[in-house]
Amino acid sequence: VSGEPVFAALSDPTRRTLLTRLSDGGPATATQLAAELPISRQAVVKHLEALREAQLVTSAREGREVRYTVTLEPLADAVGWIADVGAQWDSRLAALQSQFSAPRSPK
Amino acid sequence: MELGKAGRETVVIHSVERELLLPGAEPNEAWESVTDTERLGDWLGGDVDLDPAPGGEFQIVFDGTEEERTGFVEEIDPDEHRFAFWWRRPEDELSTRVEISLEETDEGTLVRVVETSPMATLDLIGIPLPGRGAQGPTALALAVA
Repeated sequence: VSGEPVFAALSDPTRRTLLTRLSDGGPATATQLAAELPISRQAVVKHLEALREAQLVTSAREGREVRYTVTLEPLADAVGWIADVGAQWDSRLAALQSQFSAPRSPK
Repeated sequence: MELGKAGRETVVIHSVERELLLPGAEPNEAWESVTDTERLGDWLGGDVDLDPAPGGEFQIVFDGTEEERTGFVEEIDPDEHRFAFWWRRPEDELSTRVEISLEETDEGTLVRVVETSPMATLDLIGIPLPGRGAQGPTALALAVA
């Protein structure tokens, strides 16, 4: 997944609100989201479509409605980065600590 | 695409923060470990080449892997004990910012490291990730423009 569509999709505060709602409250239809949030159903559908193009949500038809679910693939890289970089600094700081706990070697 | 510029918008960015207390150490002594290329390279785990001025080159070749990262110095302030630089990972060309700062405390010098990935900013917006709980692997920094 390229970062650019994700980036563009998330640049809009309404879309971030929708994504947060879908993440916190679970899958929902545009009608449900429009009822909960101060956004028209038409606008909700438009924003959900942008999120879907960025692969941040998936959609599944349910009768006459479409249900939207958050997907994690674009977010997984972020979690991996945080874990990797955190582990690297843990080990570097341990090495820094040993500079101070070990007797200083003459330069 | 500009980041975090829009009024009161809140953007969560990838950020890793670590702290280390060096008991009994003076800030000036710790500052040497942060800015002397040999001592810095020793704990970063590689050979560091550094032009210690804003805009100066920063380079490290990691021991073992020979991975080379290049970047530049953003700030190096011996009075505030703050050193910020950017480096770029060769494998994905991701540029990140590292800030190392020192704070004098009663117990010793507190070293704080923050590595931030502004370019990857918006694919994380503070959504709790299922299976990881709200606390996540580390704190996510909240940058309010």
